[in-house]
Amino acid sequence: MKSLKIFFSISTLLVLFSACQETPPLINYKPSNSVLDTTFITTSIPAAETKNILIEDFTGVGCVNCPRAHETLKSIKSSYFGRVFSIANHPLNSTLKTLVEPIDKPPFVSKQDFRTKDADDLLSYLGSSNSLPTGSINRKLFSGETKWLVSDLSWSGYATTELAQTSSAVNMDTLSIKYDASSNELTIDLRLIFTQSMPDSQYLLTVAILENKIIDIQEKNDNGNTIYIEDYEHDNLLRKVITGVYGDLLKARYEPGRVFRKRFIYKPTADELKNWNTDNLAVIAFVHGNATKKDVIQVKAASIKP
Amino acid sequence: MRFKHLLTCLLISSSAFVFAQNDEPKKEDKGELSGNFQTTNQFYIKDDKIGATTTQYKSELSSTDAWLFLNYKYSGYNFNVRYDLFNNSPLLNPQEAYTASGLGFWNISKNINKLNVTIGSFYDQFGTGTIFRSFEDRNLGIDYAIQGARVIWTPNNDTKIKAFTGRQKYRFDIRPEVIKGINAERHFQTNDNLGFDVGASAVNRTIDQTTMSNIAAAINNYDLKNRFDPTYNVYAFNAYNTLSYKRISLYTEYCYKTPEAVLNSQLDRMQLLSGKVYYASLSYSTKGIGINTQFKKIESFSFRTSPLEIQNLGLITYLPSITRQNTYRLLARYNAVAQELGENAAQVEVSYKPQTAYFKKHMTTVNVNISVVTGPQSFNFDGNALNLADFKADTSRYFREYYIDVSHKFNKKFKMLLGYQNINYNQRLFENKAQGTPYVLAQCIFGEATYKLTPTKSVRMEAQYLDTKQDFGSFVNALIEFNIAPHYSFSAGDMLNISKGYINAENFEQVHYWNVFGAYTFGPTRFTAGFIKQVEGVNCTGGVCRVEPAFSGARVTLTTNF
Repeated sequence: MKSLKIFFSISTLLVLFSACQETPPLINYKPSNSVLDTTFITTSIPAAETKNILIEDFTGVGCVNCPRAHETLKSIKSSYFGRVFSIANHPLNSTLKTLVEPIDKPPFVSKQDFRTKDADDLLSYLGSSNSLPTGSINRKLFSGETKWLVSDLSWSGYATTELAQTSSAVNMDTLSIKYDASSNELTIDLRLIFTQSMPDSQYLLTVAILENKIIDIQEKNDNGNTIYIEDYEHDNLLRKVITGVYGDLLKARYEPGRVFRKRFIYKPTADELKNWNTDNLAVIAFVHGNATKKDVIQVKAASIKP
Repeated sequence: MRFKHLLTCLLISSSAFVFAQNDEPKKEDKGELSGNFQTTNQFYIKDDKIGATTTQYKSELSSTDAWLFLNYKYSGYNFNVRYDLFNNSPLLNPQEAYTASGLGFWNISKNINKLNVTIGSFYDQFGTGTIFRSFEDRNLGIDYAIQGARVIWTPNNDTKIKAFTGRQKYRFDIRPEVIKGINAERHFQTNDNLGFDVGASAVNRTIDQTTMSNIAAAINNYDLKNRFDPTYNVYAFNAYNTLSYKRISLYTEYCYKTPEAVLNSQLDRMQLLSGKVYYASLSYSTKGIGINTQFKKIESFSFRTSPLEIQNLGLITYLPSITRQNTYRLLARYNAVAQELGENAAQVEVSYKPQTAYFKKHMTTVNVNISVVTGPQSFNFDGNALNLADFKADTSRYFREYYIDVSHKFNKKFKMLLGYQNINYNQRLFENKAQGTPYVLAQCIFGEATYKLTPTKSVRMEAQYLDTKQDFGSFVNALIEFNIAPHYSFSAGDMLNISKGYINAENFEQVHYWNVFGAYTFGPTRFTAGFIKQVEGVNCTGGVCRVEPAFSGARVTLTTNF
C-alpha cells in the first residue's frame, strides 16, 4: 500500500511537471549586413505614396497544387498592377519534405534545391503549416483566422481588402540593388520617410534577395494526374534574407518627416554563386510590425536588370 | 462583465445547492454570515516643499479605497466574496489616479472527508513562499490572489498535500500566464525531544503566446551576442525542513528555478538565468534569553508571471528582507529591499531579560539586532563588506544595521525604552537613484516613555533623532499620544528636517512633517482621522516594498468586523 502511494505521488509529479522539449520562439541570430544606418528628421515631408501589399507564398517544387497559387498571384498582380509584390518561399522543412525537396524521379530531376532555412523560419513565424500551398497577405491576421497563413483560395479576397487602403504611412523613395562581380558585392540602398505619426508601435525593416526567371522542374496537378513541367519559370524565389529574418528594428520615434537611410552589402558565398544568376537578382524590402502585430505597412522591390 | 458572469455562477451554484438541500428533511440551518469592512479616504493638499505633487494634488483632490469581505458558511460549504472599490486611488500605483470597482475576490470551498476543494480565488504559499506565495497586502495595494482550482488532501494529522492550477489576479483582470503547483508536507516525531517537519514543492509557470511574442521581439532587438532562446515554461522546486530539538529549532530551505528570461534592470535587458535561494534560520530560547539567527543567499531568483513585469507586479516569489522590521518612523526610514538578482543576507537577534530579582521585577529587556546584506560576490571576509568594525561607505555592503534597545519598567505607572541604531544603506541600489547618489551612513537615537495617569488614561511619548549627511539629511521626530481606554486615542507629532543632505543640498529649508491624529474605537469598529505630512521613502510590508511619494493632507479610515 505504501509503495502504491509513493508510485502514485511520483506519477502525479511526473505528469504535472514533465513535458517534451519545448520549441522556443523565433530568435534571430544572424549578424547584420548593414553598412550604413542613419536616421534624421526632414522638414520637407512628401505626400504619402500609394500603399502596396506583400503576398508571401509558401510553395514547393513537389507540390502539385502550388502552380494554382502561382496563377492566383499572377491574376492579383495583373488586376492591381504595380501594387502587389510577392516572395516565393521554399521552406527547408522536414514535415513538408515531400512537397519541397528537389524532384529526383528520373528522367525528371531538379537542377537546384530552392529550399532555405530563412523560408522555413518565416513559415514558423507566420503560424506553421503541414500543407502547401499557403501564404500570408500583408502579414495580416484577418478576422476569423487563427494564423497569418491562409489558403491560396482566400488570397484574392484578402488582397482586395488590403488594397482598399491606398495611402502609405511610410514612403520608400529609394530602393536599388547593384552587383559588382569584381568584388563580389551586392549593394542595396534604401531610404524610408514616414509620412504619418505612428505612436505606440514598433516597426521593423526586412530586406531580402530574390531571383527571377529560374527555369526548373515543377510538379503540377493536371485534372487529377501529376505532371512534371520541366521548363517551369520560378519567379520571386527567396534566396536570402539579409536583415534579421524577422526584420531589423527601426529605432526612432515614428513621426512625419522621420527618415531612415540604410545600405546593406552582401557577399554571396561560392555555393550561392554556383546557383544564383546575378543578372536576375532582385531585392524586396518591406516595413512591418513586430511579433504581436505583424502587419506590413509598405513594400517595394527592385531588380538588378529592370 | 466578467464579474457579472462570476456573480451569476455563484448565485446559480448556491441556489442549485439550496434546491439539493431542500430534499433533505433536516432541521433548518440558515448558515453563518460574517465579514469585515475597511475604507481609507484621503484628501490632498499640495505641498511643493515636500514633493507632494502627484496627480491627486492637481486634479482629483480626494481618493477612496474600500473593501467589503463576506463569508457565508453553510453545511460544510464556504462562500467568500470581496467587493473592492478604488476611486481616484493612488494605492495601486502612486503616480496614477485609478478608478474601478467590482468583485475582487470570490471562492467556493467544500470539505469532502479529508479533501478540501476550492474553486475561485485563493491565497496560499509553499514553504517560506520563495517559490510560490499568493497573498494580499492592502497597505501596498497588492493582491496576488490566484484564480483557479485547489485541492488540499490531509490523509492524516501529520501529512498534507496541496495542488493547484490557476492564474494570478491583476486588479480586476487575470493575467494570461498559467501557474500550477504541488506541495507535500509531513511531520515526523522521533521522540519527545526530536521532531522533523519536512516539505517539498514544485511550481510551473507557462507564458502565453502574446507575452512570449513581446519577449521574443525585445530579444530580437538586442545586440547579437546578447540574444538567447527564452522559455515558455519555468519550473521551480523547493525542499525544506524544520528540525526541533528541545529548545532549538532549525529551519532550512533550498529553492531552485530552471533557466528562463530574467530582466536585469541594471543592464536594461533580459538574460537567460536559473535561480537559487538558500535559507536557514536557527532559534534558541531559554529562560531570560532568546536568540534567532537567519541567513539567506539569493542567486538571480526573479520569479514573476512574466519577465516583462517589474517592481512589485506579477510576483510569484516572496522574498522578504531578513533585516529587522522597524516600527518607529525614523528607524524605518531605510529598508533593505531583497535583491532578487542576488544578495547574501544575515541577521542575528538576541533578546535578553536579566534574571536577577531587581531586573525581573522591573521587566528589564535588552534587544540587540545585527543584520547585514551584501552583493552576491561579497559574502567573504576578504573585503570590507563584512568587517563589523568598518564604518565607511562600501557599496558592496548593500545594507547593515546595528540596533540595540533597553526597556525598563520603573514602577507600575512609568516605563521607558532607549535605543540606538546605526545604518549603512546603498540608496542608489535600493531606490534606483541616479548615478552619483551617495551611500547613506546614518545613525539614530530613540526613546519612548509611557506614563499611566489613571487605570484608563495614559500618555505615551516617543522621539527619534536621525543623523546623516546623505539623502535628505538629518531629521528629528517626536510624538505625544494620549489614550483613554477603551475608546479614544489622540496624538500629535512633528518630524523636522534639521540639516541638509545630498538630495536637498541646493534648496534646503527646514521642513516640518507634522501630523495630528485621533481614533475612536467602539466594539469591533475603529474610526480614525488624521492630518499628515509624510516624507517620500520606501514603504515595505513583508517582502514587498515600493517607493512612495510624499503625502500631504487628511486621511480618514474606518474598519469594522461583523
